[in-house]
Amino acid sequence: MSSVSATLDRRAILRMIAAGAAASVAGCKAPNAKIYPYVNQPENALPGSIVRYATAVPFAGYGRGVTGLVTDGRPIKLEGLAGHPASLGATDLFTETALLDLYDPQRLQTVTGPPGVADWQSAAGAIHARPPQSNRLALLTGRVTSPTMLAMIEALRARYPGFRYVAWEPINDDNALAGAEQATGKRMLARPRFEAADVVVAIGADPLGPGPDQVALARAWATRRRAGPPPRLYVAEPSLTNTGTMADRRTPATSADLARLCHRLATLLGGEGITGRLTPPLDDFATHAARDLLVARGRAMILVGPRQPPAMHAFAAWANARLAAPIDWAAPIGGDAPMGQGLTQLSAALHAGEIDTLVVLDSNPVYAAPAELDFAGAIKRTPMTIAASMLPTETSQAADWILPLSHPLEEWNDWRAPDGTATIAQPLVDRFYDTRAASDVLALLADPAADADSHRRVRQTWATLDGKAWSAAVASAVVPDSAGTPRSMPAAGLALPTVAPVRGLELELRPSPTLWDGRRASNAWAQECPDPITKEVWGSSARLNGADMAALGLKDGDIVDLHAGGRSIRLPVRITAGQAKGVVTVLTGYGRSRSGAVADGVGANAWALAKAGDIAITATGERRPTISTEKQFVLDGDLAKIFPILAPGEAMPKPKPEPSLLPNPPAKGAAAPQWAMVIDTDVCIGCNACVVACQAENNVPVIGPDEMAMGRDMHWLRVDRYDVEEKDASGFQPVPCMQCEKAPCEPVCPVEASVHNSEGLNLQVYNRCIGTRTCQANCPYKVRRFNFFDYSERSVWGDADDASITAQRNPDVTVRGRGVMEKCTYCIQRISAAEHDADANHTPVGEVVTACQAACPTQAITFGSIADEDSIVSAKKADPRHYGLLEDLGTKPRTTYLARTINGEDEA
Amino acid sequence: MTAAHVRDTDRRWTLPSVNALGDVTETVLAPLMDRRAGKKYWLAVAVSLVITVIGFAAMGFSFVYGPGLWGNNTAVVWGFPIANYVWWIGIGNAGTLISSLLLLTRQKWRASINRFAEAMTLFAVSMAGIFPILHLGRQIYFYWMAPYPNTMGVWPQWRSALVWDFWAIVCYLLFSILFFYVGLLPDVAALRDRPGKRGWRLFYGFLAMGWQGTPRQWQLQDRLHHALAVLAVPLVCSVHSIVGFDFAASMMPGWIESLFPPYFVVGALFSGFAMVVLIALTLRWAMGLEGIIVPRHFDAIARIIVASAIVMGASYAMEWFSAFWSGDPDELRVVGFEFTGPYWPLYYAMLACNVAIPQLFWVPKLRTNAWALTGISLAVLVGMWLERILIIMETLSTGYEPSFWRLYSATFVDFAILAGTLAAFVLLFLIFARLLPVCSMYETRELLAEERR
Repeated sequence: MSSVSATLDRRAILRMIAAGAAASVAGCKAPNAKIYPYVNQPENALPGSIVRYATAVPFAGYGRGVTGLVTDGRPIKLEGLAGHPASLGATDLFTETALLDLYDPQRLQTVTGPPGVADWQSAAGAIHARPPQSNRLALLTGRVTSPTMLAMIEALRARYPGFRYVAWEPINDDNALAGAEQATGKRMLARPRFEAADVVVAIGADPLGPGPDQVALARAWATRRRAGPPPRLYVAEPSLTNTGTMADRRTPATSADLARLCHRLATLLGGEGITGRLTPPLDDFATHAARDLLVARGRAMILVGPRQPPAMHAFAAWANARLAAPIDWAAPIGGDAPMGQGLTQLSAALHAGEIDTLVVLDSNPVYAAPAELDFAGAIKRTPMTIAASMLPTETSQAADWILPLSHPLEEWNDWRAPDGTATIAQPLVDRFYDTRAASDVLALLADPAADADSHRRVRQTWATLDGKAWSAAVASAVVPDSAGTPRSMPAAGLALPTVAPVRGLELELRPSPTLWDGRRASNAWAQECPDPITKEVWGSSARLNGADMAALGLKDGDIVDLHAGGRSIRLPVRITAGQAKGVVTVLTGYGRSRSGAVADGVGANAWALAKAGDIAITATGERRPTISTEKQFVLDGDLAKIFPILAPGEAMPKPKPEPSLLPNPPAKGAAAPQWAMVIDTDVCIGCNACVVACQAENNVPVIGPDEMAMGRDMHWLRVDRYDVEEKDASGFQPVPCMQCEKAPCEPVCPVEASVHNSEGLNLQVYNRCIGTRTCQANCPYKVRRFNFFDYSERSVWGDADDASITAQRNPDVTVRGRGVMEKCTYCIQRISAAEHDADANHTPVGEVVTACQAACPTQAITFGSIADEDSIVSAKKADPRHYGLLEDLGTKPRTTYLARTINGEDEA
Repeated sequence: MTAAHVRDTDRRWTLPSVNALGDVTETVLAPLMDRRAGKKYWLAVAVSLVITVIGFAAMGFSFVYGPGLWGNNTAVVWGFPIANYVWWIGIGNAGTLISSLLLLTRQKWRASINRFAEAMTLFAVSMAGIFPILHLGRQIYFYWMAPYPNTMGVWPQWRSALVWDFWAIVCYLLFSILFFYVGLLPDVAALRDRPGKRGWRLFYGFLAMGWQGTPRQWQLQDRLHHALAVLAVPLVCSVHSIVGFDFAASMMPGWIESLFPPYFVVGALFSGFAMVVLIALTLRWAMGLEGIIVPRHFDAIARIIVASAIVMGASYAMEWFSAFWSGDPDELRVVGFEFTGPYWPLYYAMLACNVAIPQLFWVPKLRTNAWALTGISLAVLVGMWLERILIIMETLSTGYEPSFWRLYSATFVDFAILAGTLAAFVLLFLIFARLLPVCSMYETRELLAEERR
């Protein structure tokens, strides 16, 4: 192992040995490097046991600390890393789904060049065959925050003066930076401090929704929400988002409405806006929001979403300065160049034939670049295009050379979090295939003989850390005190957005909460994860307001053509709750092509309509209802026993004890722990991290679009969304198994496959189950899932050999066969592990954290024993907001909820 | 209030064309022993065989690939198989009731229809018995529902209605075979004693088990037959009650109703008699049994059908009433869903078939008109099948959790399996009609003797 330098200490070597051993266990190939077998097995290293390592994975260029759960060398689960500011011990959906990419059979496995399958030497040879001319070489990457990569790019600049480098993300901060510049002259990003905000007015912003900083923002928001006095969240937005669902007061608004709202707020906050007419609801919204903002000066803020025009950001900067809002300002990491402009210039240069060699590093402009740039044509025009990516993309398919990138968990990496904190990420497993790290590809550009040693490069970047500090940084995945220092904002002048006249329908493009800009489209977990709002899976739709649908004569599921700017895409339409009239919302990330069996042909590529503004809709006469796990139903019965809404400080009515002839010993003080869960619906933001965390932890199969369309979803945990119209409230309710003390599923199973244990768990004995499905028929909560086919053996990965997928499976959880009922177990494997530890060490059973609980960014899920009166879960059960789902059925659920509160208008 | 044209003779249950006691035997046996089966017979065999093969192939695929071939989903976990099961077992009901209840109440007119009604029971229960096994996720372990000594030391869950159901079907099937066979003994002996091919005589001789027609044997046979009939009445009620418990012993809205057991018994009787009408009409026409299956028989059955239809109507009304009376929002929602949900056309069709259409039997002429009898009986059979599937769909599509309301639609395999069991039922009947006397000869002779007196 030539790369093991003097800077690598004993612990790091051991870690690499573990990673190497992992690869051999996974049976991929014998590692090339020399391996040090155990002479004496390290203490506590038990085969089959789960070992936790700190590392990180990137999302949209930012690093996010994770804890990798590794068993016998295989990473089987990613959890949060408490010490990392973008994780705080929790995950989001993108972190959860990142793991599946490692084992994805669609991954690029070899270098491919014009002659076909090739190797890295020939790729390097091809790049350097004609020594790249400085000014005819271009590099396109996504957002780069990695200090190592930034340094290497600087080195490339030095090596090739005049070399063009563009960093571009389809979903970027261009507008926010431009707005800040307009208001203050400085290109900076606002970082709200939710933990200190009493009043938040979100204008087209979705801070609790998907994004690089979702976990940190959601945690801060939840922390503030739990503390008194009750905060208030105002949201005005074109279509319903996670943030809008959690709002205390929400109004749907078109982009013109949002601009008018800014003007009105500016006037009310003491500036000068155009005094246009607002619709009565919007007027009321503005009046109340402005009143609350002014009352809570110093603890109030206005947030504007990244897609809103720069002038709106400028207004927010002015307003927040005026409100002394708890907002930090920071320069964007990795440069503040406008990304869209950079890409446009690059595309123009390519079309003009100014570039000989284009290197696209982990970016997919052919798919996501604005259609008018014709990036595919630009690549065709370019003599040599080299695309490096982990999975096949439209761009890699168009390139001359395809370089396979390693999964982040296979390499040494470093990144920065959105707050600037640097993280050093160690590999958890050796490379599965002949792949290299992104930094290795950069090295190859400078030097054809560059090696594939990501460790050395990262170590070099952090050469200032001595051996001990380096080890500590690797072990914790965080470089201490590396966060950027927030800057104060110079005084801002008032700028206001122009109010565009209302024409026909306008288009809103939103990042998919599951696929983002399309980068997770190949990920089967992501595709099968329901959209938080529409519960759609495996596809996208055009979301419309019911009135617009009626006006257009459309019904749910009608397929339409959306025309804009001379281009059109074909999608089914659907009525969506909370949609502003006049706005059509389409999610980006779908409609991938030539990108593997999972992504191809699912939905339509909304990037084709980017920057379009107004659109026209024509019906095609075809129908294809969207695949959705939840139909929209209007419930005339009372929702109060399912999703009660309280005012702050209000308590749930005490349930009457149900008379019973049967003995029901209280759980408190029982000899065995009595497991129970409490879910706080007041802070559940519906992010779905728990859904996929559960899927990863419990070997829940992916069943594909056809089976999802049949209504056979297998997720053990679903997140229901409710709109309670009479209270003008909405919210999310995650529903795992209720683990009823008087479980209706148990007495009806003819073979006693559904039984109870002494710890209050409702167990499903897979190998006893014969599949009568009576348990699910009789389950009031419908939380059981049935293997209608042998799902664990079926593949959604097309022709690809999906054997690698099985390596992700948790060895502590049975893989269920056909014809067997399954359901949430409260992660019984984790309970068992804790109990084994307790037995071995003669200690009481320690803390057990379920997979969903570990994932939750807002810590809405509490788990523990109610036999222990001092446990957190016991305290939650005593909360005044506590209630059981459908409690009056007498099922005595162990999973219970804390009611959603709405800090509505005071009566006074 | 018997129809005028039925009353034109002193003989109520036989026609003058059948006069001597021997005529009965000749009428029943003639198609069996002496005539060759016609083209129509073989055509019927061919068609039903093809459909049977398709249906059983669909079952085979379901065994191999799993219940995913059906329309069931995670909310509506039950579908066609359970509906088919309940429907078939209901059809079996009439045969047992005709044989036992009418035997006990000394309704001699049952003599000419009880044999094929019992055969119908046997075949219907056989078809029904397929489904509880087929519908499982892991069919090979169906025997885990039986208590047998095993290394796991696990017994069935006695609180589960499915275990009661398992015993109900097993008992019912065994009983039906026994009852059918005891009634058959004198007749197979008669077949044995007629001239014919040696192989057939050996076959009937084996089945006759040494029946010689001695007074002692007649006495024992009669006693056993009556004793079994006494057992049958509670059994037939318990079977259908337990089928009702499959749903009622739950906590789902629309199922948890104390009305279900009696309502299922009446529903079974209802569909069973409709099937008896169809079979009687077919056999009478195909085998020249006009002399012993007379319009008056149909008149009597039609009266039972119209009475049952009224009880069915009352049961539906009771369901609605109890929902409104209890004021339970979940029950009310199910009732609302029945009338206004996506399945409303099926629900109205069911009400029409089960309640409205049978009222046509108030018209005396229609009670003996073959076309009216056929049409109304078919309507009842369709209506009862719709009722079975709707009981499943309505409740499972709308449980307590609105987030998990899902609709059900069947697949080709579902329909193929249903068609396959229908065809197999017909096929079994075709074989039965060529193999065994379709009417009980000795009992019909008894009836004729009484009528001529």
